[in-house]
Amino acid sequence: MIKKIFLLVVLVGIILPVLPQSLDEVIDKVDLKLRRDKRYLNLNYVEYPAGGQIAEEFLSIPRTDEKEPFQLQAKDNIVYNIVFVREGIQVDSPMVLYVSQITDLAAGGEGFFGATSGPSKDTQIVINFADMYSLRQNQPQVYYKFYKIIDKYLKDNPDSDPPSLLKITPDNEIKTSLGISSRDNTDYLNYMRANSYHWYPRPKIEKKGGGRKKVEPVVASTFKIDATASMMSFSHEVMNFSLGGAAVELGFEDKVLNVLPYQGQMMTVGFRTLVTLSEKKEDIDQAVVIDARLLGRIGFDVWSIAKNIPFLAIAAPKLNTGIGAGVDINVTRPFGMPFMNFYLMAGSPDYSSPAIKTAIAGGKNEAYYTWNAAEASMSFYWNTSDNFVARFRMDVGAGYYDVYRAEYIGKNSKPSTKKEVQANFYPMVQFHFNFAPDDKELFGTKIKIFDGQAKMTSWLKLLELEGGHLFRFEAQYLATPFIRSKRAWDNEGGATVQLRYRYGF
Amino acid sequence: MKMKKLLLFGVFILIVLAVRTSAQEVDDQAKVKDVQKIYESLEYNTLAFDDLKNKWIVNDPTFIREIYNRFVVRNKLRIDGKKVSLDVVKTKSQEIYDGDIVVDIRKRYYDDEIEHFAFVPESEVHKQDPKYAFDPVKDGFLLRDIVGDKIYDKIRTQSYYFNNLTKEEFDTKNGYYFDLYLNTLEPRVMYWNTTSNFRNKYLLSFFGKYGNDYLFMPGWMLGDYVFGSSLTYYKNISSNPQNFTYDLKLGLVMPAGTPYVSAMPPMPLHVTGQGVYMKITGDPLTFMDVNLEDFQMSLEMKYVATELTSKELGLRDSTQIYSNRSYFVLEGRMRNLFNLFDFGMLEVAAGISTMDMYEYLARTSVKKLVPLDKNKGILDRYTHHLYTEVGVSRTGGLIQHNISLLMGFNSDGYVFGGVKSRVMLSDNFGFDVRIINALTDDSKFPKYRMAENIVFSPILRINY
Repeated sequence: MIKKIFLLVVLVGIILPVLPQSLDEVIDKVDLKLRRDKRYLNLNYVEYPAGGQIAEEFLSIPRTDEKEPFQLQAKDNIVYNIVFVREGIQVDSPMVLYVSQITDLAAGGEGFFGATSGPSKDTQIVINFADMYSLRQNQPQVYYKFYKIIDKYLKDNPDSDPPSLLKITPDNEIKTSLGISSRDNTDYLNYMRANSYHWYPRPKIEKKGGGRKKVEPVVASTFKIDATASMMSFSHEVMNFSLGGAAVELGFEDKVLNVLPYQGQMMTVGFRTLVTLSEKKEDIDQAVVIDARLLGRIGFDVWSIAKNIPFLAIAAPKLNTGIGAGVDINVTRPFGMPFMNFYLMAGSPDYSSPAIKTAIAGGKNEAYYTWNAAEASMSFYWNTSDNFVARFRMDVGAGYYDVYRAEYIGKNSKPSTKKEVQANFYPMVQFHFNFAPDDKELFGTKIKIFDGQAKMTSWLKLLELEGGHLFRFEAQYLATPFIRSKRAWDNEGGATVQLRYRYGF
Repeated sequence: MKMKKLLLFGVFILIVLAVRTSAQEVDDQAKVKDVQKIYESLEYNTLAFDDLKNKWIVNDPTFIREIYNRFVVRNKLRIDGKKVSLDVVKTKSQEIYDGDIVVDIRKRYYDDEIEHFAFVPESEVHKQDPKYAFDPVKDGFLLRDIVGDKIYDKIRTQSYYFNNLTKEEFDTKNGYYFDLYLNTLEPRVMYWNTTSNFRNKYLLSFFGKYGNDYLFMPGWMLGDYVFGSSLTYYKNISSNPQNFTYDLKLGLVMPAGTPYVSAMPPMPLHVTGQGVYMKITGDPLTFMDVNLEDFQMSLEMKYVATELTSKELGLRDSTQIYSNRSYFVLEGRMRNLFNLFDFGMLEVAAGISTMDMYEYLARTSVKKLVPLDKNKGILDRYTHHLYTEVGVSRTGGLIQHNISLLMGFNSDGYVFGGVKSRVMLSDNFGFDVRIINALTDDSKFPKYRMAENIVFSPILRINY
């Protein structure tokens, strides 16, 4: 019998539950977290007293750890924040966590040095989580009074959130892993505003404030200039008809050919305008916009000047050209299609007196000419995030140019023979990248691969002066043909470095 | 007897005490759970980003001891919420000395504080649900309290040896706004899309095609380039580009050169006229059984309708050339058969292809090309191929690939074997390599064929 009883005692001892973790320890962890974490606490609070009266239950609130009972005070410079957790995965109803006392030292005249120095508010937790939990367990009428206050607030303000202790801003840091591509003209305008030699009107900013819309006029200079040594544009406000953005330009660059500035043996002059096909004429972000340049080309011996310019590390050109006219059109998403680009330059052949010619056997000279060129492409834009910091663009299309060869006997200016040696289409791919932290363009680069050659253009913002003066460092690099053998009219690779000045953009 | 009663009374008291203690413990446990629940609900919940948060393993053995010792000194090591005995501490310490325990750390998503800290046996690190050596600390402020500011900041700033385990996001998707697939061998540029019922998608794309693998003349070996437009229909919007319902391609055939310096056959093929191209791919068997949507059939054909002159072709007098003017390819392909050793979904294809061949002589005195094989009947011009292809295909994740083995039998008695390999990183960058070789004696090969064909292209894909 004794043995059985002994066994029973042992068994009872064994089946007794193992000691759980201490309640005090978990409460301490909560208190520590509530005191220290200043950013991540997803807690709300309600200010008390709202009307200056302190509830009877709050005149002597018992506290733990042998602290004196606490009395909430009705003073003008004291307010209490009743902090609670509103909701959570395991929290079905609001739960009061602690009460802090905010004392306005300046208002109550309690600051030793007055309101002129130091913090003007003193925050102190007067009922901590351990106290509140104890109230919930042992003094439910007091806890319930706190609960009623927040419950009333929530019911009285169903459409607004109570003040929060959360200091992180998830709404401002929403991330997407796949980036974005704008469905309107935003990407196009962002790109063109950063890179184009022509300006694009900015829509009036509508700011919502106090329930009323305010229209902020865009402050802009009366004229705009964008200039490097090889390309420049000018626009004045008297040219702001239709959408605005009309301008004139002058340049020494070719859009299609694999040549560097001044290597094209020509100068272009042009007029640029923006036309909208949409009913809302001023809605440049949404409208189908035709961005057109009408160009005139004059062929002459640019090299005789360019070879003396120190910042051009370029080889002598091989191609001659002549008078021509052209058009360069960009259309923003016609019929829901991608951004379309068309360029056409047509010239009248003139083989007399070529500026660039090479001696060949038999006392003859040969010269190569190009008269016509064209390019058609589609542009696609995307950004790594909706902050538009890293902006990308890809142009995919095809380009065309013709090349003619003429032979000259001796010093004759008229050719003895002339022949078309090339008139081909080639695929064209152009990749662009712009870096614009805080919506301010800092760096841009693009690389174009066409007819077996690569051409790279990069710019870096140098300085921006007050009044709208902006300076950039801009470089172009042309590689020698890399997926085909070199042709007689191909230019050698080279590089140019220029300073670009923008005003009024 | 008295003794017996005394014992019984003692047992009774013990049981009452045990029951009472037990009831008290149950009550306490409920309270602990209640407070624990509050504790876990204080923070802004970022559970959805757990796998994307900054995560690393501390491997530095001395630093691990430093941290561990702070836990020992503060008596903050817990197992199942309870303080651990000295024996357990000694045992676990031995594992620390042996370097078997590392520290698993994860940062919060929106700031720099630590939200998960755990001593974990090295063998458990890569498990989905690792068994920790002690209870993890899931609050940076508690951790700071235990280890002190200096060590806590050192942990945060990662100024020691560690292994970064932060996950990178890689996604494959089907772009319905635009889709650029730049591959010289088979480029595609989607330029328009629409839907008729908010569930389906019609995509219009420009496409290109260099050569034909199923004629065993890949890439630039066939001498032509097809450029055209395709219509792709998705019955249901899908993130997998291969899940289309049907795809119709119409294009023009153009002469093409070789983009790279490459070994070419003695007499490369010429495009001798203006031609058209068509390919239709779909899953027609779904009309009978919807479960057969992985069975795709395709019919592909090229036909050159006109004939260029010697002058238009730029040929010198007495030049002899070969030209392919039409071909047909009929194929059945079963996709997604099963996952092959986690390497990708197995797919098999079988088909028949046929191509004609013309032999011409260019004479400058005669405007038209002079056929050298005009005695041949139409059907005699065709060479047929029976082919089969077995491959694995993987979409999604960091690496996407489509690798297949190709085997074909030519009616002229040749056997071809080849490997096609397309590998992409994050579905953005990659390469396409196709190698097709003759497996039989190639001494009697026609002059327009190569016994060894290697074509390749880099790939860039951008889609939104």
